Amino acid sequence: MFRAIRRAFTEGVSGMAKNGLMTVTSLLVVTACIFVFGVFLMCIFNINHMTSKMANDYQVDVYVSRDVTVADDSVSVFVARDFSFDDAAYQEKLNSVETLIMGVPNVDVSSIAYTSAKTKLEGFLSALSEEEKADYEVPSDGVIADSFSLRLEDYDSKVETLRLLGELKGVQEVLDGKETYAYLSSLGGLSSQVSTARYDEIKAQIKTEIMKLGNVDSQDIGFVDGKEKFASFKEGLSAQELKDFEGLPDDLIPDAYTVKLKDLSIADETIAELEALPYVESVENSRELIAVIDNLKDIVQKISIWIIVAFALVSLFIISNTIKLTVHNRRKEINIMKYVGATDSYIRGPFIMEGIMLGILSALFAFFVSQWTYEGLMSAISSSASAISANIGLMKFADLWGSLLGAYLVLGGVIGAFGSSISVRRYLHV
Amino acid sequence: MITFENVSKIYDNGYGALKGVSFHIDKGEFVFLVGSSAAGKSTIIKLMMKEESATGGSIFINDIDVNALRHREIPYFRRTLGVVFQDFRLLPNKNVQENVAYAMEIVGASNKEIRKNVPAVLSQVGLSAKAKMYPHQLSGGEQQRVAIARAIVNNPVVLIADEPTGNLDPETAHEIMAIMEEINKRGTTVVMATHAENIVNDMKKRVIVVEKGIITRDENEGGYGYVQSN
Repeated sequence: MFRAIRRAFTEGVSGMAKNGLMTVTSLLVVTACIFVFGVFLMCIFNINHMTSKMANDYQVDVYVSRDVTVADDSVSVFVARDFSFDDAAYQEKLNSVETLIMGVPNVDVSSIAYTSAKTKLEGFLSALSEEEKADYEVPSDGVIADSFSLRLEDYDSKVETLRLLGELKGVQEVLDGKETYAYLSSLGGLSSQVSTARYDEIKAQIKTEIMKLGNVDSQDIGFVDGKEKFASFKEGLSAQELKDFEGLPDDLIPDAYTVKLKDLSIADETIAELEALPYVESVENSRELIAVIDNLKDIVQKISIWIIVAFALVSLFIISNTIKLTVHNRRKEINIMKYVGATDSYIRGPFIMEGIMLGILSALFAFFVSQWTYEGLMSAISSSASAISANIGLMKFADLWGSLLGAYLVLGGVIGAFGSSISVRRYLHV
Repeated sequence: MITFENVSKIYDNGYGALKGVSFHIDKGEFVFLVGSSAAGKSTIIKLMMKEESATGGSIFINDIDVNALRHREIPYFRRTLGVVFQDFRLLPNKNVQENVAYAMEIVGASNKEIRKNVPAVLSQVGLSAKAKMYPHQLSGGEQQRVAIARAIVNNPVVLIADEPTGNLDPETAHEIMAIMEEINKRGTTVVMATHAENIVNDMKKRVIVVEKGIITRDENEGGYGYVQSN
């Protein structure tokens, strides 16, 4: 066995040497073919690497709203004020309205809070400059009516509850959160944001709602403080760039929950569910990018199959012709071997070995060319756009050389063996 | 040992080379196969070596049904035969001893056997002194002796020779025939196709004459004689 291999090897080498120019030519062509195959292979490696990295890094950012128009679900019940009432009678009226409100179904009784018009007006005025204040010459506490704010237990029947509240005796007007905001902001100066206490409640509620979703990894929900994020963003800027951000509120970026999904294939549905949650301002994710890369992967794989087939055929043709030359040179010898009783496999051995060596040698050449090209390309990319290469996650040559060399050697060996056996077969039927 | 029974051979191009040939050769015989070119001698040799397959009839060599041999069995069958050709068919890039050893390597003989047998057959054909020379350094007779050494080194039961003296002068031809006779005396059956009238007449061996695809004469201690009619 060992002797047969050694014989096949030495005769294979001598065959290659005798074919000289033809050997060199086929080495070059096959090297080029394997290299082209390798370019596609390296693309596939990198795209696979990118997608798996992205799938790992994939997260959905769920931004929490502080905005009253989105976040304030309170209902304001304004109490009609009759200026002829004395204070005691008015107080009685307030009490009776509060009692009536408590009697309306669907009202969250514990949430009922009284806001005096005076407090509201003071808050409004304090936000104005002295000149603007002068325009409001009648700081009567009648400009804004006193109100009760409350929340509902079930917002699906909000319309019906608002109607019931509006029919209560002593009630002037009922506005929901959005209307209240619109009304108050028409007066100007009022904060558009919910209170800190209410905001904390909202955050907790959103988190609970997120965790209820089936496709969400409830163990891996993160929280990004918008203020901290903005602050750290500004730290990275030069003094010049910072000027552009002067005067912007420090809570410009809303807080967000970061969510990881269990199954990326139904990410779109889950994102829609997240967007539908109350108090969610917006949902951001890198889904589109993943889809683009998935597409790219598909295309590259399809092209690669054809490229591989085409170049494998070219290599096969070249190697089989080279071996044919050797076989032809040695046809007398083959003939003699047949008469003396050599088996087909004994005769075939050196030719197959020559083919395999051609293939493997080409594979090695192609590998070095690939390494040289790949590393050159990498250093060109990293010097021109360091951020891109770092973020996109291109593989280092050290990470892919093993699979690449393996694929090359297998391809080269198989093509070599197959190509030479095609050529030898014809001569064996003596 | 060798039995041809009603063997016919029609080539793919339609040429009928053999038309019902029958003969029997016993173990240890020395037989001349005689006839003009294209008479069918070479076809008989090719059928014996299974280089061609018979169209009809049956061929048995050493109890093997040659017609029934499968492709992968042919090499093992050929190892029981030794073959010598008119044009010697030596490997030009190997020296004398390598050419002979090569036949043993092919059949998977051990290095020990090769070191023992190769010098023995080289001395049998009288070439011990030229073991390291290459074919182009040898005379025609010497090259044919190397070919004979190669043919017998694996101890075949039959030695088949196709015009072995065709390229040699008469004196050298007689030397070759002496070696062939010696091999025959040691027990190997010899079948030799030839045109060489003198040799056939001198050797006084069995002669089988083939003409136009049939056997016209088969006699012991025969002569070339009155064969050629054209």
